[in-house]
Amino acid sequence: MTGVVTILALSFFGLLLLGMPLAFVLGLTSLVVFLFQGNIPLDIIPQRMILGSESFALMAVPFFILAGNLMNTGGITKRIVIFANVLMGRLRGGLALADVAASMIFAGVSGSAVADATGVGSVLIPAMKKEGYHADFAAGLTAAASVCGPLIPPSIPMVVYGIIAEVSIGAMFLAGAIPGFMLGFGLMGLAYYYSVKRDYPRYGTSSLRQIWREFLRASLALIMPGIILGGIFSGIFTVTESAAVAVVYSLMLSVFIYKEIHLGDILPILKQSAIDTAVVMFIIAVAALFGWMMAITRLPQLVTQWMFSLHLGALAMLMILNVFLLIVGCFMEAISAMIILIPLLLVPCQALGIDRIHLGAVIVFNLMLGLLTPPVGLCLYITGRIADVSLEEVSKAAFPFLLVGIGVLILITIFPALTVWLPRAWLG
Amino acid sequence: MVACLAGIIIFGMVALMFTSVIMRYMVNSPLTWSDQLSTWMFVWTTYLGMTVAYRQGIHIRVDILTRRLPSRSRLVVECLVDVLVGVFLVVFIYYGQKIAVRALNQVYGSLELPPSVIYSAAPISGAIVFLFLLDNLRHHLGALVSPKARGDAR
Repeated sequence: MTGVVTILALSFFGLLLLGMPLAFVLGLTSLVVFLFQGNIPLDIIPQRMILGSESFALMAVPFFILAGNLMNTGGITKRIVIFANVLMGRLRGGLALADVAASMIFAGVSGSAVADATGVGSVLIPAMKKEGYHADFAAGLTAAASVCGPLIPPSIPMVVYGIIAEVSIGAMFLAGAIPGFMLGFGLMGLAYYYSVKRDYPRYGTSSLRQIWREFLRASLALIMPGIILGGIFSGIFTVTESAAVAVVYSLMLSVFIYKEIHLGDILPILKQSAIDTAVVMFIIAVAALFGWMMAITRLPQLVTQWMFSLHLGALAMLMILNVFLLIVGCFMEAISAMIILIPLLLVPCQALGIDRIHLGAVIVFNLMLGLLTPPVGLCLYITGRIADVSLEEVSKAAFPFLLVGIGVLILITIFPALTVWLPRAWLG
Repeated sequence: MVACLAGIIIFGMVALMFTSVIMRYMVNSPLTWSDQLSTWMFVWTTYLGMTVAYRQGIHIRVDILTRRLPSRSRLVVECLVDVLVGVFLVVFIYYGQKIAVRALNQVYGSLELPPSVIYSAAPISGAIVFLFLLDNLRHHLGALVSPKARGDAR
């Protein structure tokens, strides 16, 4: 048995370091292990891979990606940002606070940090630079605020966790809500502190009447989170259907009401969304094969035995897991990391009495912080490119905000109630 | 063109899903086959989109090690990776068509169609990627033998 595990590890890490695309690494490693075992029909390979992508729940992924792309090109994001500006403008560092607020509102529709960073960043970073904010500060803050995207429901990584760990996706959405708001308000606090210290400008006071006017102007965009989340949690539609409704709603709004998308622009958006989807989904599909392969090598049981041999309590185990995942998150994209690690972690963590919902919220929160750490911090690349600053500069500027994130992570690790209370109270 | 097709299928999925919600609540006659159909369309978008992502070289990978290699050894590694992926694709295509053909006379799910409809995505997408892969390999090998062309091979 240890022979198989050695072959598995050698093949996986060897191929990964050769720079082979991860999906093919997973596929080839499975093939190598099957050949080594000798008695497994290779029909399993295409069969598991195809059935791995045949999932109704996972269809929420392309829909949320498409909705995010439509909101960003269709003027919906812009209106949310303007509303956040007039709301926060009277405070020192008004644009910085608006940046976080807009990200949090946007998070109520979108499930991905990348869409959040691109949409909010492309409007607010240039505006902040013009008002005299440091470019690296603008980029670092926007990147950190975009992490609210996959925490405040809905959330693509929570969908993926829910499916792998067989937990209700609605419950996982609710589990991310309180941590997401904690992160958002924490970031606002730190941004305000920096704004006072560095004397960043107010955006200009706006009268209540102005706020009301901008609210009305953005109202059709602002009710989107209500429609989507209300629909899911009242049981009117499934998560997947709610994502489809989000697409249809943002399409209608941008084509017929805001008139910022013409019919000819839709095909490129669809194409881009299809490619973005395929990159994520192909890995998920091959991971179904990989997971099946790991199960027959009994690797999860080995990990369980090893973790028990350490004689640690649940909290100590979660803390060690956090350090490990923070390191993994520096080098690996979050969804891929989840797909490989969750099947290995579920059994031992459950045996230690760690709630699946709590575990999922900690894992997702942790890996989302990986979006803020070089060398593979996707959000740093995006906002750094918009602000025209180097990866080093953004990473440094984002670091204090990353610490806020780590602080919240420690809190939700120690106090499970922060994650499990809301889903229990709501869904029973 | 493949990307267009995948994009249009996504649009079809949205339309289908939205129609099914409307039918359930407003017309009160839920569609029984729509979930199954859209899931199958989803399989095809994934595998068609995957070929385009391969062509554009945007599949997620770890390149912290290979990025640091001198260009000649990096090309050798690229060729090796191409060959290994090629081996996997051959398995994927061959056994994919095998299960697709074998399942032709089964029926599956609420559509009562053979699962070959989705299994056939394996050999078809596999073959498309294989063609792209041969093209990549040709570039990499070409760059390896003639140092002049090395600049324009990626």
